Amino acid sequence: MASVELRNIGKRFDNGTWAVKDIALTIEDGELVVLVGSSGCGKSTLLRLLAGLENASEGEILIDGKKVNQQTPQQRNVAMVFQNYALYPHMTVRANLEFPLHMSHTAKDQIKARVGEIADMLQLSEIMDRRPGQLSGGQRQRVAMGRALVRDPSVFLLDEPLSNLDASLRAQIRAEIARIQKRLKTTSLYVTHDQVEAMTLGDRVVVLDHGELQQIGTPQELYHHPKNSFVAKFIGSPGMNILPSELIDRGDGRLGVKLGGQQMSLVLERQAYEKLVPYSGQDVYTGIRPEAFACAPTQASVELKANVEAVEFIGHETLAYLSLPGAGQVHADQLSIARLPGQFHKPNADVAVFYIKPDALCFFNQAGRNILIEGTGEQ
Amino acid sequence: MTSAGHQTVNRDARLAWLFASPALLGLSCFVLLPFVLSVILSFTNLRLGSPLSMEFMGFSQYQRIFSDQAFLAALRNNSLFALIVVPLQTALALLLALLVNQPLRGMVIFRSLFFMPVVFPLSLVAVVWIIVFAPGPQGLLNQVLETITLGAWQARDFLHDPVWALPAISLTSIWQGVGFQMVILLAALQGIAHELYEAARVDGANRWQQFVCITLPQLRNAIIFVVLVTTILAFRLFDQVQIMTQGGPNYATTTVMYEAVNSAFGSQQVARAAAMTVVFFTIVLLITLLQRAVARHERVIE
Amino acid sequence: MIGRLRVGTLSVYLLLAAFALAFLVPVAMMLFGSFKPDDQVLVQAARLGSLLPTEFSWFNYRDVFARVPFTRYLFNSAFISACIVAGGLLVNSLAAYAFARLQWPGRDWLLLVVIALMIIPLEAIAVPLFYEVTLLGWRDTYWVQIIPFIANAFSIYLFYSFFLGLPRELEEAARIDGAGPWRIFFRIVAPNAKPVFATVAILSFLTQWGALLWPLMVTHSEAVRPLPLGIAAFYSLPPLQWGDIFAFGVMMVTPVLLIYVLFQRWFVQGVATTGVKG
Repeated sequence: MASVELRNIGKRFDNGTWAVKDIALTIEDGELVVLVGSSGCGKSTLLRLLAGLENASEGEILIDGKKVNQQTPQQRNVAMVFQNYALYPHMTVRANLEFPLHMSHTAKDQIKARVGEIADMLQLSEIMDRRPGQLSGGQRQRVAMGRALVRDPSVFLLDEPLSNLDASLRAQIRAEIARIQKRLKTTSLYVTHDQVEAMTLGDRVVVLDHGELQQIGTPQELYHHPKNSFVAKFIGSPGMNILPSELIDRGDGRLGVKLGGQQMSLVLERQAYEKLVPYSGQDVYTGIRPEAFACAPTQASVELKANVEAVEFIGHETLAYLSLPGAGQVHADQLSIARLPGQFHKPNADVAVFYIKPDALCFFNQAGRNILIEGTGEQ
Repeated sequence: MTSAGHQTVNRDARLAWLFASPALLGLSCFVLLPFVLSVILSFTNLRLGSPLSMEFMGFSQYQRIFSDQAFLAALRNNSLFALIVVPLQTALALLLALLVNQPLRGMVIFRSLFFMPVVFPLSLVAVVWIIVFAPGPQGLLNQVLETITLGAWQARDFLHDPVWALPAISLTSIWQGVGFQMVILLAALQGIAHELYEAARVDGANRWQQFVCITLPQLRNAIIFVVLVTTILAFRLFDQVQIMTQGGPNYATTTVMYEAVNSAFGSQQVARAAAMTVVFFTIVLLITLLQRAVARHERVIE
Repeated sequence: MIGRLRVGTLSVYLLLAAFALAFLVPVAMMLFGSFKPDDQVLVQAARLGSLLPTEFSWFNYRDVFARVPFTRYLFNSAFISACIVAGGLLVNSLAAYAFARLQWPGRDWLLLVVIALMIIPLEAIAVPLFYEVTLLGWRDTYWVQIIPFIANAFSIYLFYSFFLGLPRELEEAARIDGAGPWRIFFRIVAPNAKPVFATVAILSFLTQWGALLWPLMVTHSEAVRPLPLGIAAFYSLPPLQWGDIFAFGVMMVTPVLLIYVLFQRWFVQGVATTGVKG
């Protein structure tokens, strides 16, 4: 068990571009932090920096308060589950599990005991004498986890461990990973591009884009209070709809939001109003989550008309693809998406009325930052 | 780079030298050094056992060998040999590969058979083929040819005939080497995606057109490689000459390497031998560079 | 359609059989000739009739052993080849690993130099190398036939290409598991590199078993000379007895043929991969 701290970590490639820059992150002892972002955002690089497989160009890495930049992977007592499992193909499952313990010169009987323990915990006892080539994807994944855990590492690193599994297995093993981590209380850093995994597994989630930190917070914080439009769009499936709009000050705590050809009238609390008023008359981006669309009015909800371009019935809900009247021609990928419970039919005139709660709205300035949480201090 | 980066490189560097030094040492001592020596020697007049001291002589060794009848004959023979063997052996290898690639039973046996001579040491092959080329009507090849041509063939002493000696050696080399090239071409053939042929058939191409438009282009790099290796081997010709003809008759089969070895050990003219080997290396180098240029050109087109 | 297929198949088999015959004839001649008593061989050797196993006797084989130290030659060839192959596998694979996986200053241009050295054939350096080993006092020994050939640029290149293709994760996992570089090489990388080890061993063995030029140059005593020199000497040893020569040849090629038949797949695969790298 150990805490991990990354201070101003940056890694530069030979050609001058930065894989990651200015990363500051603390992982508490026993915490599971998920590092999430799209391909190429630098999340795997960060993991490898922590493991010692790459060297940081700047900054410090501390494990349990000690600086480890100079240490080899062998010395750091971290363990890693690779995306492709990296099981030793020429060794049996048993030999794979024993290998790390052999490397640390553990006594033979201790090795046996420990391997037995891990095998039981991960239900590997039946396949101990098989080779990786004879195992299914799920089994290989568990062996990889076993090999990582057998040393009781200070830090447990996971590099997209579920991405090579069938969708049906993923949920199952995801739950198992969570269960094991909770039980062993090992400090863990989990890398994925799948925001569902991030939201379900992480005590806290770190969002990266192009090597830069976007936001660190609990899943709830990220969902309800995204710091910028990238995070807003990334979190949620589908992510938040970001719409170009204009703010109009109506005075007295009332704000008009001009979306295409219509205007929503909002009555806001003092704090929110004061933050938004400086932007009146300017172009801002309004964020509406797909889940925020309702078909019936509720208290304090405002009306929003939209053209329904297409609907997709999923079973328990329908996805409606919307464009705003008066917003001009939109491409297919610029359509807004609404998630509506049950079955929703395309209206005859193609125009439907939806109801949105004002406190579900987010506003982003031209730089993409969330206006309402700007200047509220550290994340 | 931070000090952490430097430390890792130092650690790696120490290790790398440890891992690589035996091989690098061996290569420097036994390949690089002699080669450099060869080049240096070729500019001297070193002759072992001669009372004269060694002097630097510039290009005069090269002038001498290029005006030497034996060496010029050797160059000519190597080139002729290459011109005979390379196309013939490559074409034969391709033909055999195409045949063996058919989805018929027993092809593995044929493949093993054709590859088998590769496993034979050249010296043994040379000795055996001396019998094949035996002179007079009882000679094996003479008999076969007589039978095939229904008596029109006149028995010849191949290995002692200025006209037939080199072709005879060529035949021996082809017999021994074709299996090697066949295997390489076979592997390349098997790597051609079936879909290409299927698409061609749908487009209406017959088998000859498929061969010309799909098989040959896909084999291009393998064929270039085979041609290169065979050509280099053609210039290295030594073993068969040493055993079967000793360079004769009348320099009809002498080769660059044969002349070089003779100069070094026969007449102790080490500098002369060195000059010959440098010429030889230059030829091989040029051919290799040519091949890489052609191959790269192909890759660019792809 | 079916008729055409049969004709096509038939012609393929015919062609193959014709070539097979051409390939087998010298071998058959050698094999059957080795079993014929001597005086017959000289007269019959070159006749078509020699292709038929009309007689059978071990005479020639016994004669070989009587006239030349065949077992000695065989042992020499085996010993020398084994040393070169074993030494080469170790030394060249380690160097290739350093090139493929480790970062060190000068690595890239050293690699270029090694690749350039691949072109230099033995013949181009034989003469100065001869004087080098003379200076070292290695003439007429086993070592002079072994040491210069252990380090081999082509082997290094084959290993290098292969190691580059191995997934890095295996080595990274081993590093994280606490294994040092030596352990990683011998316990993780090498066991997963069996194909290239086989290829290099076979190609190296084939080259060395048939080596003629170098042993000819640097040895003169039968105690250390290998088989190819044996047969060349035999050929120039009067009286010229073809039966004996054939027997010598058969015995000389049988070990290699056996290995070939047993490990055929590796042979073919090994040769094929050189073409891919080319």
